[in-house]
Amino acid sequence: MIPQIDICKRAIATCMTWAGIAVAAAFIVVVNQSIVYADGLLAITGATIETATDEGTIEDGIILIRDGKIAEVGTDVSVPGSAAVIRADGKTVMPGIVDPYYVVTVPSSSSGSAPRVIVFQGRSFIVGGTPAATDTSFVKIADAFQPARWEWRPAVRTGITTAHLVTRGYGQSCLAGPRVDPISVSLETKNPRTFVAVSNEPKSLKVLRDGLKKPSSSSSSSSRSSSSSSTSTTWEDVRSGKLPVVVNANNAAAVLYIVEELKKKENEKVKVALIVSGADALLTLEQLPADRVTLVLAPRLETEPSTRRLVNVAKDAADLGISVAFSLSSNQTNFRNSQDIPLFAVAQLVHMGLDRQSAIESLTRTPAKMLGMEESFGTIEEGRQADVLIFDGDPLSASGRITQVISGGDSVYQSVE
Amino acid sequence: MKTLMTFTHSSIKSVPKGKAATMVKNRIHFWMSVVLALTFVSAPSLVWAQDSKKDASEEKKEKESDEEKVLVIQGGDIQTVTNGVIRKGTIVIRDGKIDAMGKDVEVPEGATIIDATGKRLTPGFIALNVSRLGLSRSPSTLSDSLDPFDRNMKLALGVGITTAMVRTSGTGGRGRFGATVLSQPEAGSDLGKADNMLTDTPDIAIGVPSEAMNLGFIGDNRFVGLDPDIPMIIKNATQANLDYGTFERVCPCCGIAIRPTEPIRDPKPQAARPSGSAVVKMSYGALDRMFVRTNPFYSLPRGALRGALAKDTWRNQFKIARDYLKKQAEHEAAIKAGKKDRPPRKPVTDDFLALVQGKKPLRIAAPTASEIRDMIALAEELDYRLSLDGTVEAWLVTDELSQASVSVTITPRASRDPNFGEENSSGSWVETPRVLEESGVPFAVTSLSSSISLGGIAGRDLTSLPLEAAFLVRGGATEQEAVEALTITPAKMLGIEDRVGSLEVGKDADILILTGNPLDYQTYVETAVVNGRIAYERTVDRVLPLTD
Repeated sequence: MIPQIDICKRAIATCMTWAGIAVAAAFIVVVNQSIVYADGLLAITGATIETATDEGTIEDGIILIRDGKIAEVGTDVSVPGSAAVIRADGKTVMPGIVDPYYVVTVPSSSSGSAPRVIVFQGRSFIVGGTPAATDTSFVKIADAFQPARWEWRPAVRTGITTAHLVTRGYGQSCLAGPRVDPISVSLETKNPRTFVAVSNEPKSLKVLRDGLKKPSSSSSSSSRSSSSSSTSTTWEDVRSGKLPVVVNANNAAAVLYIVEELKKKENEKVKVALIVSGADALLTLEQLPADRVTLVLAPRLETEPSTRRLVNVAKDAADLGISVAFSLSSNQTNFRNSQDIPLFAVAQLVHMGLDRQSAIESLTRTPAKMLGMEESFGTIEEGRQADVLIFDGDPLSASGRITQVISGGDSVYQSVE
Repeated sequence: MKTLMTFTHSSIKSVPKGKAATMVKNRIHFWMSVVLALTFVSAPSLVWAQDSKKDASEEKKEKESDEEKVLVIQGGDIQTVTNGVIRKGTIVIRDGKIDAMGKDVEVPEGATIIDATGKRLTPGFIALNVSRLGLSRSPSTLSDSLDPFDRNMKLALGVGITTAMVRTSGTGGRGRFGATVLSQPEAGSDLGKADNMLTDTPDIAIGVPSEAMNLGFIGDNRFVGLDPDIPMIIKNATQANLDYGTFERVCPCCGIAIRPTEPIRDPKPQAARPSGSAVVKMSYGALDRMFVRTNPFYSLPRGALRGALAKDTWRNQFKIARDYLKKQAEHEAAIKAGKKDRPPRKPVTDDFLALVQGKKPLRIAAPTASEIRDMIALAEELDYRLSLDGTVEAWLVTDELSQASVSVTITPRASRDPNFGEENSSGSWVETPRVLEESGVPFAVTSLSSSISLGGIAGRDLTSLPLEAAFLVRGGATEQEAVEALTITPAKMLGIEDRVGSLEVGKDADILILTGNPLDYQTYVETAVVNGRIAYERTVDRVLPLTD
């Protein structure tokens, strides 16, 4: 599990750091730096720990990380002498952020060649050409995605340690996270989740309905394309409620159509991760079945369409008992520019009445649970993957800057102070 | 049912009113205050957090049981349309339907009560000829394309429209129907393709000057000197049209118009293509029971059945359809008798069969008296039901209309110049509503424009529908007849009079709470209930000015 440490490499890395600091001092920039800790033992001491569990906040706590997993959390944890120690007095530690809907662009399987239009007998015909991939064509992210071409650094410095990669349209997602040595992206492709974009028109609704329908044993398999077997198994996961179907609802009307599907008797186990704009969520909030829907929202104040009044949709949803997951990447401008204080938008929502604990859970535990991975990450507790963020202050404040990102026990990002 | 109200309350809670104003006025100040305030925000205790969650789930349960509750509208004067007025009556609404109505109706325990004292209650209005409302794009499967959050629905509700027949395919606005006669080359064979029916193929009149289309030159096979409408056409025609005749056809390969001076091949018989429509409720925010029915009429564009050729094709279609029905009956008899028999191929669409079988009427625009007579004669010859649209000259043919029991749609303010030399026997007349009522011809009212535009031409678009009905009274109709023209008459035309169009026990609870007489320009809709659910509230939705 732990890669070999090359002393020279580390020395070089250290030199690089100092060089980086010099550069930073001169140009006020931030450098990336990856560190792999010796023996896989790391302790973070003296921090205020936002566990995102029912235990809430632990003041002056210690987190002990062994082999990339959280071994112990608490106020009286004995730190072995061999452990590397990060002194985090006065700082705040929270679980790594899980982005539940990270849209990536994948090259389309066929770009299509232009058809010709022929007018004959006063009627027009479309001849030749192959149609380009449409919204309802199937994309398997794990196959089509090119990690080397993904600009993932904004994600890392935002504190995202797990991103749920999807694309527009219909397909199977995968999970990605930053890893060190060499610094890169790791993909977790074992349990793909099904995502589908739905609008209030028959074509996209058919994709959803066909997926939810139990396949008849005889006819369906032969006519489908090669991806049919894996497609049907992931839809089986959806039907049994093991994994949610990730539905990107194009408008408020589409949300109601999805709710209609959920109401059907045969779909009673189906859970939905609903990607929806805040305004559309607001219109449909009271019609959503709270126990089966996880709303994925961009963290921001929304404008109510009819009155132009600013509203806090995340709070309204929480008041109705609907779990909310925040997707930090959904506001691209914020996402790319909010270096160091990535949670400012969330802080604003908390200031406007959103419960603080549920805000933190919306960034970590809720999306992890939505992805069916709450046993692996999303909280700071024993046995979880060691994905933690260190802020020099309250993460939900304008002054709480992100200083270090630890993913799987390794430091993948460090800001220069 | 409570959705809208609760939304507003919750949003008020999350952003205090005064604060919102500050934000707009002084953004910088606001951001500074956020930053400052955030430093004082402390982490709330875990217990509190859990408690609040519990409260939320309990609240939700309460809400759920709320929805099953009964809605009662109390104290208003109920204008039932079909059974007179009930003064200070009570309406009990359960499960989207009118459960009980009358003077001494017991109010069930726990019911939500709307006090309508001093208000007038009427059934929701029905709008025919509507384009783009509550449906997204030009859909193929209508029930999958509803948009219950179409903002224009609020405007429609604001004037009292709760049901609309929305055009889903076919040509544009009314009065522009002249050009779309042409369609499939073979009458019988191609019409069998039912999936063609709802798609709007723009392949008909390529390269034809638009004014020529509007004048009805294309496809009409008119001859100067023989047509009663010619004075009007001459008035609008260009000199080139008069000198060289009309553009008869367009070359299929190059798009250049072929002038009728050249000897050209006879056009093949072509079947007229119906336009599609859907009846939808303005149940803003609710998908449930929004869709009522599809294609209530077999709708053809104006002029589709004019000329010997078009009529011949039309008769032929009926013959084909009747032959098929006969064969089908024989086939069914054979199957019943236990014989093996192949079913006959269906040569026409189900829609057309419904017309032939008398299940739905033909609806066609017929402004002039000659067109109306023509259509009545054809309907009687081929024995189908008829409903006419835009019958400006209906006052000239009231006897024929009532004898043939044809229903019509009129727009009181639509005007048509009389023909030259026929000033007393053509053109529009202000008293059309009176003569129609006196001769017992059922008529519905439509507005001048079929959409909601609010683009500055006040009083023309759909939001003036009740005012258009008021003009029926100006034209001599009784108020009762004018309200019927908004409610029960169009409901009967659409074949949904068992559900909407009047306030009766068992019907859908589509109820308007009005500030006064529905035909008064000062009257506003206070509350609109659609399918038993409050879909519009004037003070909350604020789509129309609040002046009083």
